[in-house]
Amino acid sequence: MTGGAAAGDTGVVHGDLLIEFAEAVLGDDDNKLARARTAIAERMGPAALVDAAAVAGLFNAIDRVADATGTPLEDWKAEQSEDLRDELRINDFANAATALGPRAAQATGRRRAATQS
Amino acid sequence: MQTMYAEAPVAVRPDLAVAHQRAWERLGNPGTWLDARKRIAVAAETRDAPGCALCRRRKAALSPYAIDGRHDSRGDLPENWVEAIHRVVSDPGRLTRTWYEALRTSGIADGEYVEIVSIVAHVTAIDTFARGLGMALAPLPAAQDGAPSRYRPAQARQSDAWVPTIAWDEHGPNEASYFVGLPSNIRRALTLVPDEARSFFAVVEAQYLPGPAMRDFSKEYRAITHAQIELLAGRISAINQCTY
Repeated sequence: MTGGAAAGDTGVVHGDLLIEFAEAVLGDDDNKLARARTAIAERMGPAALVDAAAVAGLFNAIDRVADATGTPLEDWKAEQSEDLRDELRINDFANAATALGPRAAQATGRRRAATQS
Repeated sequence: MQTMYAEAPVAVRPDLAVAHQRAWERLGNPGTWLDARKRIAVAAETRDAPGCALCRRRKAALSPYAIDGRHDSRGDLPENWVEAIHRVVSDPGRLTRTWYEALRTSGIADGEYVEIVSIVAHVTAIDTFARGLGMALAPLPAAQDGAPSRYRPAQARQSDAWVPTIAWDEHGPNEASYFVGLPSNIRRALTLVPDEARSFFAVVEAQYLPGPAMRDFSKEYRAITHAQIELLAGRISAINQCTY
């Protein structure tokens, strides 16, 4: 997820196509996007292309809502996703402290310190 | 926008087309704090932001707040509004509370800011969808006459977010129909301007999933599975460096 297309098998059917599409739709290489679009339409169907474009568009927007309003992740979500965030290095993102809120950010810091000691 | 999608290279779900049409029509009408002319100007600036040289330099910099300069803008909006729009578009993962508070000090009211963010989000969602399908961007709607409602919910207060929001169990009767289902911080994000929150989350339901369907893994609601949706969403958010 954070490693992109180069990270290899996602374990999700057609995950490689969707990762390529995500990277292309946010990039500026129109030829790459056209190839990614065609691959989804041909191998997953035109309705899948519509839904993939819809999801990509929505998350490209809702990320901005979260970041621009300083909306923190719910405490319970932060706790449940702690290992996953660490594994995917999401805690290294610039806005992690804002999104995690002070309590979750402190918990992550304590966990890292314990791991490194 | 049903008619606009009539030209789409693939068939667009009717519910999705209707949601986009409603959002686009709202864009051209007076909002809560912005009149229609300003709303359209914010939308136009959203589309122009990726071409701004200052934003490109900041995006490439390790310390984006150390790069001074003037945005390439259309000249229809004050410079602090352009700064807000361009940063949210071009480098959302590195916005800071200090930056937000500086915008407030510069004269942008919190309600105006939330409405600006909402317009950026609506345009980004719909334009990215169009790019994904290989369609031309929809022409911006014509600005309709009228005054903003200037409605501020009495229950909105400063909480964990930078902007005031309505807590899940503190809403008044005007917003009761919005606060249904499981509590969600992201659904609270735009509630200082309830009409924007309602409009954006109508788009969310159409482009992603309605709330109950998000956690119903017993069936699939779209042409891509829950797992495929979450993988794609996760990759988009990772590219945007969004922790939420």
